[in-house]
Amino acid sequence: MKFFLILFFTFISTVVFSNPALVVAQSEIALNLYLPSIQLRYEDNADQSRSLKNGYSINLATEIQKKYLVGVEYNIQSEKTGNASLSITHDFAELNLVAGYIMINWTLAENNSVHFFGLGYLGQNKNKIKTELLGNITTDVSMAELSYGVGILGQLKLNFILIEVDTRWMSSKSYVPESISVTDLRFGFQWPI
Amino acid sequence: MNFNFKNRHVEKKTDAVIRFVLVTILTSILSLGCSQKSNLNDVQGDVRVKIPVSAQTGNSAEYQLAVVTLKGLAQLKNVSGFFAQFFFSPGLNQNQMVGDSPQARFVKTNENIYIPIDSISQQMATLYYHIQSLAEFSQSIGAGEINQQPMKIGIETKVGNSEVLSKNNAFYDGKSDAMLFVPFSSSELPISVNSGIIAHEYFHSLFYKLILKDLDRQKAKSSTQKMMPLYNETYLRGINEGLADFWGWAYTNDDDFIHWSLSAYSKNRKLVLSEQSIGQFENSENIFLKVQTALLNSSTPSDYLSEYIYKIGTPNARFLKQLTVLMTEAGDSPLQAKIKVAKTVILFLKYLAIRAKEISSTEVLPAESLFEFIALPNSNIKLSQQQCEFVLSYIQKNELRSTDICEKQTDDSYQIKPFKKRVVQ
Repeated sequence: MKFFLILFFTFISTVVFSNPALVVAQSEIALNLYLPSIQLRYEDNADQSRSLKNGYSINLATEIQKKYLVGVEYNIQSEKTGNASLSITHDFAELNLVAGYIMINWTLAENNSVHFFGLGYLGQNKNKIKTELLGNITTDVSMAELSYGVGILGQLKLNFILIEVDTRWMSSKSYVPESISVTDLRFGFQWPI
Repeated sequence: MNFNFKNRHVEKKTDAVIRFVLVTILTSILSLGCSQKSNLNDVQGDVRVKIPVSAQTGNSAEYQLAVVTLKGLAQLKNVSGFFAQFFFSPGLNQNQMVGDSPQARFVKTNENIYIPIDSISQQMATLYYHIQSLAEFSQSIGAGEINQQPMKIGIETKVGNSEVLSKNNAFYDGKSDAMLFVPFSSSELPISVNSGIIAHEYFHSLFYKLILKDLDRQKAKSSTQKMMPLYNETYLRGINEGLADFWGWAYTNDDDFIHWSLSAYSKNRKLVLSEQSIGQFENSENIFLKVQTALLNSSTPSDYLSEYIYKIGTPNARFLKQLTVLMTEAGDSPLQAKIKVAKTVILFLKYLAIRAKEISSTEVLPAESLFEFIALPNSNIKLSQQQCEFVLSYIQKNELRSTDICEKQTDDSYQIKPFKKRVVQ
């Protein structure tokens, strides 16, 4: 089922975005470049609590016709537990494709505006587990798991500067719990193409 | 005009396609989200995990990561199943352990092996595996019915303010029938993954059920502020610790299993018997003197004797280990020898339980009880000459038996008998 969904999305995306006649017709494409950002994920911790955990995110997006947003994000997070004799370092990495549609557009002044996008995410994540036992290190890599989610992006645009907060509900078999809330705060620049 | 129309037409078409794609993605995501179940909630039965275990390498033991199978799991999410049930930072309510079940976190590799991603999950998987193996070992020596499954295990247990009890420790609590692990703050190997210490604690559960449980009921009748009851309590505590150390060795084959986690105790409890130490043990007179000192100098004499009990126990543990080694040298496989001696230990506990219940408040349990039991014909061990002489070196410490000898039997085994002078006519 998942395999067919991915195939289906890939096919549709390829049809839409590989045909320049469709996308470039308006010639209103902007590239959003972001600084590496902090990502907060509400997840279970090693100490049995559930709280916001810090991770990092690298993002790149394009806005098409000031209505559509298509991008990619790479999320990483690391957690270490144990002591000098026996420790576990858990490295999480996730690559998601992001697609969104503008829902609210407020113009504050010339070139300054506030936008809200509805977003969908689809990607894959993997976990690398490094276990250090009395000085010997063993590394295991998990099988890749599908990740997906929906969310809202609030974007403040001041000329070319972007300040964004994106909050979403994400799911994956490898998350603990399997559905979590994720919030990103990021700064970036918009570059018209 | 025509051009604008074409542009508008393309724009509408683009809009429609992109909207369609977005709506499809969102709908699919929502439907997937509703149907998705966690990996770990569904994982049950026999599950392969990677955990640290003690492994024999030549003459020494080492810890390494190994893939093992956890059997009879009801749910990997909380590592609960037929053999163990976990409680996180539990409390006690009317002798019953209460607390939340800790949630474990694992990831699955392409080889279908589950890897714990944090220390608590690793501890849970490791403890489950060892309790399972120890229960199987108990089964193999005919002691499988003593413990009820699943074993209740408390991790990160908070125990009072005592520095000794509240950190870097583990113990079996008979009243709640639970194995409790307190927070581990040292830089050494955590106790909850130390195979030998887990086996040591497991043995305490057998000792409690075979001996202490009934004695606890009688305890109100006797006072440990008196000489004889305190002597007997001290001897039983000592023999409990000693036999538990033997169990730790028998399970791991590591004569210094303590040092991985509690290196400060290694020197006194290492199960290596030097030539000079053969036949040496803490005799009843010494125990009496120590108990007397405790009664004179402390308002809590049992606590005063907490370190001393290992001085009673360790020679017993070293004796059993050496006897097992001698049996291996005589032709038994290491496992056969361990099973024979472990079976004898269980018989000894049953014998000791009867003796402990029978004795009055003015009688004592002799410090050489274990050695004398091994020498009995019904101890389940047929001694070779070498083994017999080894046991004899302990028996002869008793003045009344200082002239005992090893006598060959019709089946070629040896038994310790009183020396009979030949009458010359």
